[in-house]
Amino acid sequence: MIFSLLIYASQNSGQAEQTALRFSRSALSQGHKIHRVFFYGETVSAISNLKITPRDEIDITRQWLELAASDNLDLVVCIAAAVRRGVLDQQECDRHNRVAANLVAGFNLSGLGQLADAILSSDRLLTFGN
Amino acid sequence: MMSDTIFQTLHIINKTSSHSDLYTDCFKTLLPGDAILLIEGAVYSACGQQVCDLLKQQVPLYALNIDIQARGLTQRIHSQVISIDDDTFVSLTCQYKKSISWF
Amino acid sequence: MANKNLLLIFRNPPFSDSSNRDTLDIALACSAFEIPVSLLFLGDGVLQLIRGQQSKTLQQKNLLNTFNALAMYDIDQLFVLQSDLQRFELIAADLSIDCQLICETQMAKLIRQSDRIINL
Repeated sequence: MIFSLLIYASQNSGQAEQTALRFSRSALSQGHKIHRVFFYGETVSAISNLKITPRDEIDITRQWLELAASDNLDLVVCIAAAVRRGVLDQQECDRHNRVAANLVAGFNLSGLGQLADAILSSDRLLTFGN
Repeated sequence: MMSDTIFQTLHIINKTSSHSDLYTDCFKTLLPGDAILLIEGAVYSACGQQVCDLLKQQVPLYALNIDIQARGLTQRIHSQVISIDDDTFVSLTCQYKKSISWF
Repeated sequence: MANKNLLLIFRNPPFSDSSNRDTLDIALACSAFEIPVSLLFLGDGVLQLIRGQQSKTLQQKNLLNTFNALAMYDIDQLFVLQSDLQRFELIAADLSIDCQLICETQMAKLIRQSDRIINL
């Protein structure tokens, strides 16, 4: 089975992202594929290098990266959602003439077309939100 | 339950039943062949008198065990609610043609 | 696999959070990818369609302009529950775009016939 995930949550309220991460680990361990994880809405605020996670808390952005590294996940961040929340890659940083790019390496900014493609390319679309 | 049979829509709820509009909107869309999966804060709805509204829907009721344990509800979940682990969560999403998340 | 259709559900009133705009943006993007898109305005979601909203008074963008332009994107399957209109004492003429008024049974069928559902 090929899954895609739409994440529409805030890291600071609720546990949607943790649930999505556990779901992904479980799906991959059962031999399923994850075509794409699409981060949309408030979720994207936390995919920033400027974020400091307290030492006794889990950095969920790091956990996505670890899973992406071991299972070759495609982590896509909605570019419109990111830019309006001040999460920029180098290209957007240059385009808007800002002081620094802060998107966490390993995540890619792209448009909603990537969500449309995920819908067309996957057997299942799961939304995790709050 | 774990056969290859394809069921219809898996309704995934993650809010407590104090979000009553969410539950009533979800209930309006249920048809035979659907199921409800309670995750995160919604597992409270599987306890006490709140479960009555869910039982009335006459669809299979599942709840995510890790969220039940985290909230100290293991002994409080209604006997007609099936407690499942993450692997079964994934299996359910395979068995149902699609899911709809209510949050 | 190619002809999957998508149902988008709007459940929030105007000026609440970004979910309405975000859902609308998904509709436009998916339509551009030739995914057949239907929109369901459920519960408070129907309040977005009320005629005569003056969002400028709040210095906010009015989504109604985009809703009115949906036909240009070949999005013409718009659904509202009759019972939601009654709840707010609205009639079809109070809405700024043409919607199909459906009962709860028809809504359940609409959801069953949809291949993918996004409900932000």
